[in-house]
Amino acid sequence: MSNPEDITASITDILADILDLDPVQITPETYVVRDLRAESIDLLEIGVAMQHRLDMEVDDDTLFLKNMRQVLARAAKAGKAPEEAMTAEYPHLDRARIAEILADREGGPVIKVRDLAAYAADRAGDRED
Amino acid sequence: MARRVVITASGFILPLGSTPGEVLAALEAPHGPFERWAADRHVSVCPVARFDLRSYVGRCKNARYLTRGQQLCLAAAVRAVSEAGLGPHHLDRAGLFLGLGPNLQAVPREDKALWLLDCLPNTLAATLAEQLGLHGENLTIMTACAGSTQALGQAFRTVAAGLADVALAGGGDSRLSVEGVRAYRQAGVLATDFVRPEEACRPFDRDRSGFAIGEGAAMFVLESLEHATERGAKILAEVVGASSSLDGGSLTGPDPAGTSAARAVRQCLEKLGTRDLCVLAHGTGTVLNDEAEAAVLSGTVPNARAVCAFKSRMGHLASACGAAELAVGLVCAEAGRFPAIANLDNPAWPDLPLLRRPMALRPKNLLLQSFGFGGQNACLGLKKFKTGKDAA
Repeated sequence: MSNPEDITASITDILADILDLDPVQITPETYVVRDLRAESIDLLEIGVAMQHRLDMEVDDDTLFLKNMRQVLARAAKAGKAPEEAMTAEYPHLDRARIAEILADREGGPVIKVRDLAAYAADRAGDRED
Repeated sequence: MARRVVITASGFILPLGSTPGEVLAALEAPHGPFERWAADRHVSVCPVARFDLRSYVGRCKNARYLTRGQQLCLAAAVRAVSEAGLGPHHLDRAGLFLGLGPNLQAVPREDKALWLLDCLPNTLAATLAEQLGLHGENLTIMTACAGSTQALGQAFRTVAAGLADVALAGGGDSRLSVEGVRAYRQAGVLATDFVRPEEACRPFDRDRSGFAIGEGAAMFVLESLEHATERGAKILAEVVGASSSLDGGSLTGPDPAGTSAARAVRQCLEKLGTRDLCVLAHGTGTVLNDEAEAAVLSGTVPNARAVCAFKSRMGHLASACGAAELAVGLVCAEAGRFPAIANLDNPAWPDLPLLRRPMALRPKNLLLQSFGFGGQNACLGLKKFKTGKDAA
């Protein structure tokens, strides 16, 4: 399943199931933590459900940008551009989204539904290669 | 000195309904709302119709780790707290005592990270604590069909001892799953050989052959009398005694002589007395339970005003049966009318005061008895509340 719409629909279903929400409350622009109030236990379940339902290996650290602060701190120390470090660490995110994330960090956890979909599409693409 | 303990509210979701009015209306019918189990037509079941957890608690993502029985219990607890009119300042130190059953559907799963929570007995307690803001003394008790009666007893003791002013207690259970029905089928405890599902369960009848499976939950708010009086709460009954015992015999069937069960009954009767007493019997309708329970009844309370067996009207609610039967008993006591034991056409013990016709009755004393697998016995004694120095 590499059709982006199918992937987004599957992720919406997973989030609705796990977080006990109506799927209409979930769009690609919805923040997973800020809007849907997912907690760490929920992220654990979302990762496992994606792995199971989308039949792909999932790395939670990458999927949920868990180490973003450390990645950026390391880049700053090494005198590297943050965009470059982010692209290397999170290859499923495009440049525009990385710029958005970097500008949005003060508002809390940045992860959006579309980031989960981008990760899944990237993994599905890998598998088909 | 032990403090007086009263019940100030109940919340229940039962096959008979989830309000006193619904329960009383259902008890007017000659039979309970039993039906044949869709997946096995030889089994009689009594389900809760149209249960929707969200209508009680709103969004609840932790429900994914709860069994249906636990979800029913969660809803009943929320209802009880709302009926009692308790606010966050009352609940902060409130106790929580739950009688629950095993999750027979819990298995290791590839698609669920924390399937471990499906197996842990305290997942409901944790969820309830979060939902209601309860942080006090607590226990989750899994003593088979005596569970919720024992939970009520522990809540009573905790409040009486001054370890909490308020405690929430009761239970919820459902075995209406493929695994639950199969477990009972293989244990050979279900009613067989019935023509109509509402006639399957026949407590204390000569033709009894086993029980029918119910589901549901009942939760109660227990308070010290002082706490209840200070906040002007309505008092439904006073709890005066609680007891439990173990047969130490078979892992399933009861001790036929009912020696330890009778001891538990007598312990409650010390506080309760035997005058103007209505017994809410365990009355499963299995050959062995009713035999042993009849021995207990004739040895302890042969002169009770009435012996009821609510399982004949809503099935066996497993660990939740005691709490559920107390909820129905309090509704009947308040209304002054108790229903006949359904299907008791040929009493096997004609000398016992088994309720064969509906009775107008406002008993001063109620005795609840639950006798579970493992020879696990629990009783609770309740009195109609009276102001004054002492319950007696």
